[in-house]
Amino acid sequence: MNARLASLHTYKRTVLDPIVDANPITVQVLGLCSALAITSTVLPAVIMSAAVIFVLVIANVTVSVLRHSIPHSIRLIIEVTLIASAVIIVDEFLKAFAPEVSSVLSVFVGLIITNCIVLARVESFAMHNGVWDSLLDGLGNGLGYSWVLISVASIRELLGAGSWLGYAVVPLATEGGWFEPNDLMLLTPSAFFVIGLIIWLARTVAVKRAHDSGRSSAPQRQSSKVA
Amino acid sequence: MRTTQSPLRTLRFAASVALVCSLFVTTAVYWLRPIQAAYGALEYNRVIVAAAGLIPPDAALSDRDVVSRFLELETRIVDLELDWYTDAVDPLTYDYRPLAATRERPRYMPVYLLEQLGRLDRVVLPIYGRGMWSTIHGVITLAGDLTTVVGVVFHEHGETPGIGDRIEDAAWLAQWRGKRLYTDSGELMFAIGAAGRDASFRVDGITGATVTVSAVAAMIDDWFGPDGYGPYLAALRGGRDR
Amino acid sequence: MNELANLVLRAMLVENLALSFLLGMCTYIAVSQRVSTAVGLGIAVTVVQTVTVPVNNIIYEGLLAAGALSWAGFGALDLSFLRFIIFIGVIAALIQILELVLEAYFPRLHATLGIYLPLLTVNCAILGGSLFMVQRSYDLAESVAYGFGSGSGWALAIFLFASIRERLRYADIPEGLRGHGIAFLVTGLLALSFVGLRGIEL
Repeated sequence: MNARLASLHTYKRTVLDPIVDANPITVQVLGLCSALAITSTVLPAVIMSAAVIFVLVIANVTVSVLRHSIPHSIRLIIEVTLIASAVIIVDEFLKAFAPEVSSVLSVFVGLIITNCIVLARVESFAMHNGVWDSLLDGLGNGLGYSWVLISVASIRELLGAGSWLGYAVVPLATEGGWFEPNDLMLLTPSAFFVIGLIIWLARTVAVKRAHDSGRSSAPQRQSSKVA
Repeated sequence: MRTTQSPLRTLRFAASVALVCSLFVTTAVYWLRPIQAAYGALEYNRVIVAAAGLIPPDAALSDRDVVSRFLELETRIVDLELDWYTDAVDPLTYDYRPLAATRERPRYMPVYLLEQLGRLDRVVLPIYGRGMWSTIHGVITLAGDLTTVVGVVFHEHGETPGIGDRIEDAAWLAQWRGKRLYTDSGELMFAIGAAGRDASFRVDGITGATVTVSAVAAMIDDWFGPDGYGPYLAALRGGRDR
Repeated sequence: MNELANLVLRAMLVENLALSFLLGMCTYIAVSQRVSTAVGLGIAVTVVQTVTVPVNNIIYEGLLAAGALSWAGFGALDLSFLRFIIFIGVIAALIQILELVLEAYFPRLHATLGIYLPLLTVNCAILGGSLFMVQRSYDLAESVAYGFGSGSGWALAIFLFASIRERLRYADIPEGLRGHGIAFLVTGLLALSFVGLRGIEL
């Protein structure tokens, strides 16, 4: 009974850790590429997040199933092949069932193949862990990626167009309201600013939590090394 | 995770992975392609029908309604080299869009004609060009005089959301209504921007969307000049019998 | 000729892979601590890009595009969905060859670049360049121009960023911003300045 509780707790940690403490984007700063170029509105970010979660889970599970049989010499290319197959399937699905969003996402769905998060999780986790753990790890990392991506997109769409997911949230000045949209938010450089500020926020919160609980935290070590 | 690996074993493993992956991928593509094609054609036909004025642009019509309205239009294929209609290609199945991805202008383009009371009332002409991030597809509807713009819509593009995609703005597109493409002598006079020009031959640009708007301007020059529909429209205007 | 030069300029400045499309960010942030390494990596990226985009173009037009296989009697086939996996394979192979060449003739550069050269295989910018080539249907000459322009544009971006970053070491940056945070803010300013280059033409 205790063993079951303990393993449930580990599962919860596996899913939740990547979302807050080890969030791939803020702390490990992976998978940035596709994260930023499509974040001027929320809808592409949501679809992209779903695509990444799907690919992460499928890739992790498949590699984990095969992990004892993959010959070491071709390990990397096998991983890339499995990831690429999942991405092709996702891309074709999107082209069939969400064509408008698919044309906005254009090449960025294909670029999930080279997304740092996917490759890192497959190589460092799925190759050494069981199927269920790998599935949860993929899910957790995907959710971590998603919340940052959707946050950036939400900020950019709200400030840049006064809407969220296409629904008007604040009345625009051009339509008789009071909100003057920030055109900078519609340009890609704003994604850099938004994410830089999010990282600042996340790091400060993480450092504070580390101080409060009295343990040394990974983010602090990393930030002093990289600056 | 090291496994004893003879080269043969490695090869066999790689081959099996390749085989299984290709099976999955090919099955998915095979199953999805008809859906992709059906959706693509349907939206396009809806655009054409709306452009011709047969349905309001945002009307939620069933697919069958769209198709039946579409059949009220006469679809003809124009041969851009011979500058007149041709029967060389089947108008019902011809799709120029795959060719739009190549560098050359397709030789054949579909045009859609609406007759009212025995006279040509509307002509819907598809155009496309390379924008900043994508290929921009649009249709222009001309009135019976073959120079006055009744409407224009850019129905497919991947331009920057919030900036380039303002070529979809109803307000901007409304400016085009009533403008004229050609002078009385048949010269292509229409331009975007062109502050000093006569108002009936110009519309404003869109600030901040320079690249996309210049792409649209280039589309007009290309498609309504001598290499595009220009000579065909001139012949039609001159009364050549359909 | 003018059109090709314009293409190179556009790919380098207006449609900069790093600053306008935000591709290759992982390596961009990781390798920009020193200018010398950044320059080496930039050269490697330019070379890889100038080679892979045209090669992928030949393969795509010859084998994968709709109707490409008509010379073999399979004109109805459209294998374009395979481009993702084929391009990555080609890029991996070409980078492997480049590594061998560097090891033999430029050992110091090879030692400096270390792990980052094979990492270019999964660099979004390299794959992205080939994917954009397909999306915009460039022909072979344009592919060479675009490969060179986009590669050198990325190199330019990382070089500028590394130069700034070396000086940032003497700045008093708030703790939470150190490292990746300030890297993004600075790159954002750099990207903003590049926006001003839109519309440049010869």
